Amino acid sequence: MKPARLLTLLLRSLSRGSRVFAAVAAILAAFQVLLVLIASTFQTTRSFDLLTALVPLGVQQSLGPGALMLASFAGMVTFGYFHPIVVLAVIQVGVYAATEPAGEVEWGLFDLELARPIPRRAIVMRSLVLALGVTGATVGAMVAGTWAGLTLIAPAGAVWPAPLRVLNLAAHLLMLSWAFAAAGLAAAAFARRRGEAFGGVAVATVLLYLLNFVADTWTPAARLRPYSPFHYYPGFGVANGTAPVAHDLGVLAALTCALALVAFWRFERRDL
Amino acid sequence: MASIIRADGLTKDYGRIRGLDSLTLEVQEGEVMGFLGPNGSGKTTTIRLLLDLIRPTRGSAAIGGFDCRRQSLQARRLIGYLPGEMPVYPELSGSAYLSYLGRLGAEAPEPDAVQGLLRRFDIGPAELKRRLRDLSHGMKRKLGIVSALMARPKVAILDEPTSGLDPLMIEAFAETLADLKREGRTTVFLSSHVLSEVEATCDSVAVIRDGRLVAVETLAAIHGALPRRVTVHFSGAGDRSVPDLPGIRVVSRDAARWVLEVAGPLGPLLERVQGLPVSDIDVQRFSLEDYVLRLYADRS
Repeated sequence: MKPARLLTLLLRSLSRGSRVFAAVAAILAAFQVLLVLIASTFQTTRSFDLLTALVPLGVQQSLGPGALMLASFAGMVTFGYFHPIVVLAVIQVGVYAATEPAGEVEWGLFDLELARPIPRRAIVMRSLVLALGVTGATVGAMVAGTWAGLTLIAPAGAVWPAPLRVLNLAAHLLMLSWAFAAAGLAAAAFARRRGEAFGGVAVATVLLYLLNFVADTWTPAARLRPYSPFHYYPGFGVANGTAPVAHDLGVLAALTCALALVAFWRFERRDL
Repeated sequence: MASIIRADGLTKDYGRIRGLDSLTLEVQEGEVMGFLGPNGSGKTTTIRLLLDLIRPTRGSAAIGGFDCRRQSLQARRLIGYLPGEMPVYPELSGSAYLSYLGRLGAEAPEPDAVQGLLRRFDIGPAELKRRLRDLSHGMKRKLGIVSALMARPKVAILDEPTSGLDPLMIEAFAETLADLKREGRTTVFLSSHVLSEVEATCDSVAVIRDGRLVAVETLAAIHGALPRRVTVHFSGAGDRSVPDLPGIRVVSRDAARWVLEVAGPLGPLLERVQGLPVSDIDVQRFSLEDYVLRLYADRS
């Protein structure tokens, strides 16, 4: 397979989804800027102390030490990397990009592409690269939003989040979204309709998020915690430097590789 | 001539339904073969098996000596394909569509060949600039034919190529096939429901029904084997008996005319009607349509 053909496929796919990808990246980057703006307002009005005082002691204890982290300039700025809606949005971008092969089966586009000397693995590789790339670009846009916000808006005297923490958060968000993108790719390798693959993984994402939430807050369910990929992105822990970063990223990377291998294996054997 | 497309016991099951049953078929290099059959008979399944888009339950197929399953890439290097249900990227312009497919092919399309096809199918710069979503079905079909043939493939597999084309463009397609036949470097395997078109353009036909191959014949052999319908008109009334000759079947007879089916040479019949008050003789060759309909009737 000539790299030029893979690039041709990749650019075609990127072009088809570019508006969606660009819009989500722009919204999430703007959200990061907005968070810096809100944090700056809190900082200049000295509202963080008030915010801490408003949280009841019981709630503080139940949420752990990380919860109070939000009541600081740096904490509020980094919250944009593990806010549930942000996390789910980045994941859905990756899943959407990764489920393109199911759409191509649905619309008969493989009758054009794979009637030519294109190996099937090139299709999976293209979608994998696309999914990893667009989620990377989305998270990159978020980091750029944070940096731009801090540079342009942050008031003097505000304690910025440590760059390494921000990068760790971004890496976790990225790796988590890659794991779900790989799940989307695997689902697309089985499905005949994009809706089936995308919808299935989207529902699974929400269920796994709830599983992690329940396991974190309800002791009898705690043993289920490792089965949710969200367990490996403890946002507060990463933000305050207490999470086992390498371990969590390693688990998510392994999951990504395993699911991508399933996709390659299945797509090679299926009817299109 | 060597066979360039070969299917050997090719079978495809869709769950419990057999889509294709033990298809064994050869297409010779340079041949134009029509692949005929009613809807759902297994034509598209056969084509998609040749392209390795679906996998056989049993049997094998090869194109240019390359196994369609194990050496699929090499086999697909030889193919130009027009799908029956033509998928398009609605957001692309006609020229971007051809350019995209050209970049994915084994050989870069020759600009002269592309221009020649565009001229023949009356696709001008204005149509090439328009987005595919804005083009008519016929125009998309014409672009599909161009994309299938623009790299001058060794094997052209065309699924219902003239569906949606107007009579002028059907003529242009027939001319294109005639050119390919003349050049002799492209083998054409086309499925169609338009039997008159197959009769006019193909060297041979394969007929498939309910997933099974029921006949493979050259058009010449079909025409040679089928009887002709001969109507003999008489100018005067009278009771005339039809000569008892081998190969003649009486369809109808009255004082004014005989309607006969004559297999074999016409000479003996003409000799026997000499001296009778014949006003006209009308000889009709049976068409491919008659052949196919008879074939279906025989098997049902």
